[in-house]
Amino acid sequence: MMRSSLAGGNAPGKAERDFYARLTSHKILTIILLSLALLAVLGIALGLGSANISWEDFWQVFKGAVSPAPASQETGSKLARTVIINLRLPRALLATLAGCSLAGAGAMMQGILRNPLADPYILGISAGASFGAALAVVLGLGKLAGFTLAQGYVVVASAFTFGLLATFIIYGLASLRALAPETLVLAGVALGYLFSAGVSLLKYLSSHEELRELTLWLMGGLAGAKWQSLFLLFPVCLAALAFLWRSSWDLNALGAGEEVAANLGVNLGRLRRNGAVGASLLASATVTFTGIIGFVGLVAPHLGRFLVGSDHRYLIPASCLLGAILLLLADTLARTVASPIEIPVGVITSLIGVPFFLSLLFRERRRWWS
Amino acid sequence: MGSKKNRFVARVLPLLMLLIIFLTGCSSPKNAAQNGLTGKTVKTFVDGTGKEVKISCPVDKIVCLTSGVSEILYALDSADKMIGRDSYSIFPADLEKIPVMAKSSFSPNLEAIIKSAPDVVIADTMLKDDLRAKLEEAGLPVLVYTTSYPHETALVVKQMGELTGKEERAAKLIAFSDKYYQLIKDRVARLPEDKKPRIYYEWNKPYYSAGDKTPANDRIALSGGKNLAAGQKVKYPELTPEWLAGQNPQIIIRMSSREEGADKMKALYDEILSRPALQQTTAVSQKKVSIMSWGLGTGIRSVIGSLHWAKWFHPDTFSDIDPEAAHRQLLKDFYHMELKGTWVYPPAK
Repeated sequence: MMRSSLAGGNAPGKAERDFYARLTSHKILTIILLSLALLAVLGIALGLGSANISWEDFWQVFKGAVSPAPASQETGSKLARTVIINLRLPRALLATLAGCSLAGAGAMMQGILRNPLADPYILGISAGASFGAALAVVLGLGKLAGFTLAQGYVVVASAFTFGLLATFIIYGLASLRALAPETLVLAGVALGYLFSAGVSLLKYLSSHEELRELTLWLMGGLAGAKWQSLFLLFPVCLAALAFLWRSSWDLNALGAGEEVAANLGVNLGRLRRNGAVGASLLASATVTFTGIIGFVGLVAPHLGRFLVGSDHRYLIPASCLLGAILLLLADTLARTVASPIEIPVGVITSLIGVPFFLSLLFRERRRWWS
Repeated sequence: MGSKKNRFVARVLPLLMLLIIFLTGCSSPKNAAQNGLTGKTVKTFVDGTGKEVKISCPVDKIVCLTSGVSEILYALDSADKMIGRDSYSIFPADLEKIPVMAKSSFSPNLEAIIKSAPDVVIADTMLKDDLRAKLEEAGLPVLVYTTSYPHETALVVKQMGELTGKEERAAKLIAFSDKYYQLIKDRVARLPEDKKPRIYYEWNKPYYSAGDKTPANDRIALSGGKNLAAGQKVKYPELTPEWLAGQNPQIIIRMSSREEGADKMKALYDEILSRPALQQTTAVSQKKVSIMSWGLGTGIRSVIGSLHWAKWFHPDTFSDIDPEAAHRQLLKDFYHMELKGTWVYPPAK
């Protein structure tokens, strides 16, 4: 609050204030529209699928689920209810939550590293988290099949530890020498290779039953999403996102340059440390349940910046909503485009993300930070 | 200050959004579906994972997501009951008419399967436990099997017989395999240990072998060979060429994939004979190198594979046995097919 009045200026004129208010309301409107868009996409995701549920049945099931009356057994056909409530809904919610978290992590990493190419996937954080989770599986710390909450948190913790390790290595490299953004990406790729080598080693050494679980887990995907995983993931992501959002003003100041931020009283060391921890937690927790899904954390924040500008108070929620929409759409495509066979969702996000990434590489990076 | 209010809205809105999405998700009722029973007998099956599953038999509609079981169902004249399959269930070719409901057991299309309302879903262990739970929640019994070991295959055949009401035919199919397995066992048991050749078994890549507790290891022992890779710490080790040369394998077996024809098998054969590291070994210098298709590596026809191996390992002991004739008879009796294509290379003289 204090900082907000500092940055906002002490006594702006009326015209300036009006202009600012208009800008702000425009951004809030965008976020509201994005929220509505997310709800619409959620509706589409729940309505589409190889079972070809009619919209009438869909509506019946929807009414049955929303109304508080317990007599939901009679609403809609049994098939429609099973497919929508047990199959599509948890999966769509997992996609929403995962897209949201990956995008939030991406926005944060881009902010604290002041690097438009930052993304948990590109920087090797996802690979680190994946190694951590794989390690937990092989050591039998948490049996991934048949999650109980406690076991789930053990795997998340292990994923988080290694995701964080990757983040701090990247961050250390970035601060040790003033590395060019592209160089940091190379470091991320190298880290990614290191951790996938670790996973390969684990596969090589594990016993038959562990190997089966590990292989199934590494192949990832959103199918088989369970309520338990959502219950587990939701508070973690919500807390991490809220935590990151609190540092919006500091991030804004950092966007103007490190010296500016320091002069405004931003504790840069703490900001970066907290940001790294929060972003790693988001990415790692997500990877634990979905496997590695690339590029959502890169694309969503850039679209967000395009829509609401680089004020992180708006950018972070907008990125999260866009990430959720993006992954939800990608997963719906993955389910339906080659029906009855599903294609991996990572294929679709990469098809969108890689051209995007390349175009960023060739664009001057200044533009994104003005 | 209007902006303060706006800030509040911007802060609360996304959180509220997430909350709403989440709460609507939580309020879903748990589904407990039950199939109507129509005067059939309910039987309890203990599947390949040790799980007890109750199914009313004989079933009319089967979704089978694993090729090893699909070919068994076909052999039991029950392919007409299959209403869905995985994309790998293509032997015999007649199965290709059945709709695909999964690429493999790893990625079943749950919606399509549930919509087709089968009496039972059959898969292999690539089916995630979470996905199995989803199918069971929808009221579909799920059986999971592997057909890598002969005893597993026999179990599946027996259970498929009970499931489809074809017990007699299942017993015949098991008897066919058992007869030959017993013959191999009896004759190998009489062989002295030092007569058993040292085998180097190579699966999908150069120098990739199979150690203890693998189906290949058991099958080498069954046919009277000594697996050089036994005793390795890793189940499927990659062996160094020089170590292998030092072990001096007497026979080399290389597996080729199901789709690969005679040309590819010949290429594999030539490639192994030309490997510099293996030039001094008995197997290469005496050209005791054989390529075998995966079609004879698992499932029903692995008994044919074992006959081939036994004859390669001990030509004198098994001189009266003709694996190709056994293969021909198996296909004729259970698949109504003629023997076609190349299954081993070089062909038996």
